Amino acid sequence: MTVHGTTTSSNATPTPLRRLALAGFQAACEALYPDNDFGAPSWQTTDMVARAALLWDALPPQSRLMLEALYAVLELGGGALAPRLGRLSAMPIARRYDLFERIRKSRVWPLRFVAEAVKSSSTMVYMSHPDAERYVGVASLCLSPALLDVPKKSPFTNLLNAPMPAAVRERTVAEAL
Amino acid sequence: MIRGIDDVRQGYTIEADAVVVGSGPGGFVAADNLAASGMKVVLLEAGPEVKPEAMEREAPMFLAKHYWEGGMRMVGGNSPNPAMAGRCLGGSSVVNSAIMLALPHWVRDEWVRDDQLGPVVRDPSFDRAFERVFERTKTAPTPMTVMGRRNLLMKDALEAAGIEGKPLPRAVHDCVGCGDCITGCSEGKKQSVDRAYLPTFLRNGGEVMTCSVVDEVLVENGKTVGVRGHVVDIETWKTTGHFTVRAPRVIMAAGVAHTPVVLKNSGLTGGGLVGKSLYVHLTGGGVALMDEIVDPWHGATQGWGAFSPDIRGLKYEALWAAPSLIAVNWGGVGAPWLRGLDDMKRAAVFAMVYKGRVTGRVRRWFGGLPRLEINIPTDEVHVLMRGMKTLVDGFLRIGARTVKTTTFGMPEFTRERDTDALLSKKIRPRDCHMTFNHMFGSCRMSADKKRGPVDLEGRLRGVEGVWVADASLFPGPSAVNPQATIMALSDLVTRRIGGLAA
Repeated sequence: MTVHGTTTSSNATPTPLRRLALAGFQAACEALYPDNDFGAPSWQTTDMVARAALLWDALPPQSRLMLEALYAVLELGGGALAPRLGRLSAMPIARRYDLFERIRKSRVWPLRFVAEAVKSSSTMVYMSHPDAERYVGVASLCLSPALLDVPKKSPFTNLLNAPMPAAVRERTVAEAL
Repeated sequence: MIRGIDDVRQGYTIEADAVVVGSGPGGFVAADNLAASGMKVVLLEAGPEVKPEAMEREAPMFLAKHYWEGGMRMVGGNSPNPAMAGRCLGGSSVVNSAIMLALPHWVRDEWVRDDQLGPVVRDPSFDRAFERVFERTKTAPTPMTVMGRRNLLMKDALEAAGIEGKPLPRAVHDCVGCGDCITGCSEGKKQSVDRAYLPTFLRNGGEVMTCSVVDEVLVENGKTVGVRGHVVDIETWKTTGHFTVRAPRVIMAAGVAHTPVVLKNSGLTGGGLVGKSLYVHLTGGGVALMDEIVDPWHGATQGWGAFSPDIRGLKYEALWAAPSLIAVNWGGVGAPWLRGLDDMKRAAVFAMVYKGRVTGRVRRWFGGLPRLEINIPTDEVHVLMRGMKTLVDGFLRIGARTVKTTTFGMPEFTRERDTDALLSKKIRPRDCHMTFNHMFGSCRMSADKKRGPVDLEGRLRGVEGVWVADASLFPGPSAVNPQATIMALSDLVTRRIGGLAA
C-alpha cells in the first residue's frame, strides 16, 4: 500500500469515531499546514486527510484507536481549551493556530503532550508527501555511484559523483582526503 | 524455509528440538547456532519478512507496518517518550543504524561487581563471540566516502569542543549513504541479521515462521514443552489462526518488552523478578543550522561519533532519518514552521545517548501488549544537558547560525554565552524529548537469584528448558549501542546449549 499522491480513502465505511477524528484532524491541519505565499504545499495540496485515513488503516488496532481518540477528543473538546465551548472545527483558523501555539508552550505537561502528539502525527503525514519533500529540497537520497555511470578509479568515487551541489561536494571531498 | 502469511494463515502445529521466539539480533544468532549444532530449529517472528525492494521510503507507512505498535509505543513514567522497536524478520536490526560496538570494559566491571558476571563477560570466549558477530555482519568503520557533509560537520563540532571522534563501526557492506537506515536499507547493504544469518540457518535446515505471535511458553511438570500463540495478518491486524510448536528447548529473544510479558503469561516469573527491572539509555539531540548547504539527506545515517571525555557513558552521534521523522522535532507550528522547513537543507542533526541511572519495569497491559515505565532522576537529566551544552558550543564555534535542541523551554542558541541555559537546575525529565530505542534488563542475568531471574548460563530459574537471549539479560545499560552485545551474549548462551566451541 502506498499513500503517495492518492486521494483514495479507506474502503470501509467510516465509524462515527473515525468521522469525528478526521474532522478533528482536518481542523488541526487547516491551522498547522495553511495556504501560504512562500511556496510550501498546504494540507490540501498534500492531500493530508485522505492520506491520514489510509495511514490509520494500516496501523495496529490499539495505535489506530489511540490516534482516533486523540483527534476525536480534540474535535469535541478543543474549543474548551481556547477557552470557548464548541468544536475545534467551528473555531476560526487563526484561533486554532493560537490554541496550538499556546498549549505547545504550556508549562502544564499534559497539554504539551497533546500538542506534541498532534504535531508528530500530522507532520509525518505532511512531510511524507513528495511535494513537501521537494519543497524542503530533498533531491536524491543516496551517494550511490550507480546513480551516475562513472569509472571506479577514485577511492572517493561515491562522494565525487554524489548528486550534491559542487561547492559542498568539493569541501566534503577535501575533508575526506 | 521462510513461511509467510499465506503459509501460516490457518495456524499450524510443529515439533522441533528447539524453538526461538523472536528473530532480532539475539534470536537469529541463537537460531543459527542451534541449527548448526544439528538441532531441528523453528524461529518464530511476530512480523513479516521485508525484503529491501519492498521497503517503503514513506516513513509513516513503514513504521505502521514494521514497528511495534506502529511506531507509537510509549514508555510511561516521569518522562513519557516513544520507544521504537522493529516488528519484522530481523527485528530491530532491520530498522536501526547498524552501529556495532563491543561492550566497554568499564561496563563489564560494573556487571561483575553488581551481578558477578565475571564468568561471562571476563571470559575470553566473550571477546571471541564479539569477533564472530563482527565478522559475520561485515562490521567496519564507516568509510569517509559515505560520510556526507552532515557527518563531517559533526566531526568538526566535536573537535571544536575538544572531543576526538571516529567513524562509527557499522554492520554494512558497500553502504551508499542513503541515510534511510531507520526505515530499512532499501539498497540491501545493511547486514541486518535476516541477511547475515539467514542463509546458513536455512542451509542447516532451520525453519522460519513469520506473522506468528507467541502468547505463552508451555510447561508440564516443571519442564517446557514448547510455545503457543496466534497468527496475525498485518494487512488486517486480525488473528487468522493459532499455532503450537512443541520443543523441549525454548529460547526467548522477543526483546526487552515482550520477553517478560510472554514469560509472565506463562506463570514464569523467575521468583517475581521477571519484568521487575528495566533500563534505557537517556537520549537528547538537536539541529545546528549552518550558513552553507549541508544536504543532510546525503551520507551514512550515523557515520561519526565520539565518547565524552568528561562524562562517562555519554556518546555523541551524527544522525539522520526520513525528513518526515526529522521534521517532527523541527521547532514551531503553523506557517512559521512551514517557512522554517526551508532551512532543513542547512541542518546538521546530532544525537546523544547516555548511560544514566534509571529505574523501570515492564508489566502486562491490555491486548497482551507490554506496558513500560521508566523513572529518571532529575540529576541525570542535568548531566545529559551538560553534555548537550558541550556539543552545542562546538557547533556554534564552527559557525552554526543557530542551534536548536529538543529540550523544552530552551531558546535557539546563536552565541556561546547563552548556552548556560542548558545547565539550569529547573530542567526536569519530562522537559526532555527522548526516544528510548536502547532498552535493557527486564530479565536480568545475575549470579544472585535474588537480583535476577536468569542464571549465568542464560537459563530462566524455576523451569527447565527456557533460556533468554536478548537485551533482557543485560544487568544494566551497555553505554554503547546494544546490538553487538546482544548478539555476543546470545552467541555464548546458545553455543553452550548446542555444544559448539565458544
